[in-house]
Amino acid sequence: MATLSRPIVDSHWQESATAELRAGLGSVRMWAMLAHFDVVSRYRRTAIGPFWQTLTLAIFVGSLGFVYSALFNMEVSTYVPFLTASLLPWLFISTIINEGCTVFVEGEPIIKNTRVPLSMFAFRVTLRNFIVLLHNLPVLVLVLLILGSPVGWPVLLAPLGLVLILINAPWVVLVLGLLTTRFRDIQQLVAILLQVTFLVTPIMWSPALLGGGRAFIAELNPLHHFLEVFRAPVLGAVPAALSYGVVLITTLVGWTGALALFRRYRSRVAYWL
Amino acid sequence: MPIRANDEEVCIPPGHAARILVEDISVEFPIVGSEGRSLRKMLAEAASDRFGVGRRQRVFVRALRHVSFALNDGDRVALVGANGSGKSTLLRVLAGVYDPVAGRLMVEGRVAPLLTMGMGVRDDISGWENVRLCGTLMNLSAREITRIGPEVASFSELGEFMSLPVSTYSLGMRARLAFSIATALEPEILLVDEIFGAGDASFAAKAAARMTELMERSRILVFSSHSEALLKKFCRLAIWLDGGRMQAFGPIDGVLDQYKSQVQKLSAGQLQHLATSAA
Repeated sequence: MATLSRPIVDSHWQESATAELRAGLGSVRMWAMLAHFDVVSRYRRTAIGPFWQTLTLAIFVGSLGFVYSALFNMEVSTYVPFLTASLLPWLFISTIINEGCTVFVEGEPIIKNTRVPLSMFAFRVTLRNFIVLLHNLPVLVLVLLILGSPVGWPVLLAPLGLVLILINAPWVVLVLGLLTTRFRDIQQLVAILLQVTFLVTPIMWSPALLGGGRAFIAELNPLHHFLEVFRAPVLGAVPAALSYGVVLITTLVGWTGALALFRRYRSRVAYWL
Repeated sequence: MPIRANDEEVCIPPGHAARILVEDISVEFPIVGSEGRSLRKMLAEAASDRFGVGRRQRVFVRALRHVSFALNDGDRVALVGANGSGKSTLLRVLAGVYDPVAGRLMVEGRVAPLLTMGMGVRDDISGWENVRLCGTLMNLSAREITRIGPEVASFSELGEFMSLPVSTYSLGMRARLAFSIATALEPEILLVDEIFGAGDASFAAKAAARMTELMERSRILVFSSHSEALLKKFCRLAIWLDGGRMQAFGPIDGVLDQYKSQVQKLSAGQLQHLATSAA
């Protein structure tokens, strides 16, 4: 029998929320392995594995692309790249929101039996969905190549857009996780709101279609700006300063709020489960 | 109530000694969704001080009330008490799962909580993968995980099944895997809940032997059980919990006597009550 080399439990109950967050980030071996097995086991015994994600997006884009480009009276070569560049970040964002609701319930067998940083579970959900997003990237690249969209220098801003979306994911998961663990109804509400959001956010339709004085319908929607910081560069444009502004402010406000909530309620999670 | 049961000082170099200090710890469980009036009324009529009504009329259970004790290197403590007296809650507090609403807790030493069977064992991945996953969650290094792998495989007698998903295992095999992983390493502080058992009769004997070894080699043992024989075999000290309160802490024989005499008194009282209500 071997001997443990590090303590499993330390007794810093009074440690700050930021310290616990650092500990959560630091437990990268734990959340990386959890995320790895999450992805692996989801596609075990399938022939093409996680490339089912790739195929899903491809089928989505292929079928929607032709119908909606006709519906909106847009060129396929304009509409399909737009749709793909919208769906890629949207699929990530919507899954983060959905899975954020179950983050602690999913971790219950671990949370109830040993002491691990709670924030670790938020990083796990973020990472496993980022892995999925990476599997979707080839679809976007293919679409851009096949339809011969001109890619300009702004495409260099696309990774920055992804990073901005990515750093917002853990706080969203933490907030939704805390709320839904206490109030189980919220998960149902979020699922409904997400469906509506998909339709009212410029994902399938371009905000240019709003025309006239109605552009504010898109501009008021923070999710539109999150999509824009990735979508615009991919389609060869520099995102509006407003989009970066909204994203940065949301990041700051979101993390501040999440930390406040986390500081106050994280020790209750084990009781609520 | 005594903070320390044994007065002899244990002289072990600092930084190496295992230690647990529990000071005036209270734990309250919220009954989520208890805002309904009928439940509150029912609990009020139960006239038990085990329940309380907090802010916004929410009912809570006082799971532990002002519990204090200190354990030092070499202490082996039995937790006794009726069902619902707070034994499992206390173990979970020591494991760092439940954050007490009041009091101070200090735990020094590597803790291994053996509380429920199959912590973290996942159905959708193989036995080998579970060794890696659980080992990581137990905070073992990559080297330690590599080292315990074959150990787990041989102790659990799973053989070729180690490469198959756990969902193909029988319940007994699953229990064997979970037990072998959880006990593959030797902790300094061992927290054992009685529910933690494993496998069929032949494996049970093997598991018991390993538990014996682990319990004997751990520096602090907190062991909750209803089996007097088992408790006496491993423990010199005992804590008696009743309704979340620590009723006694000291040498095991004395505490067990106190506990048993109260149980007898209670059942005698119940018999009498039954007799009068029948008459």
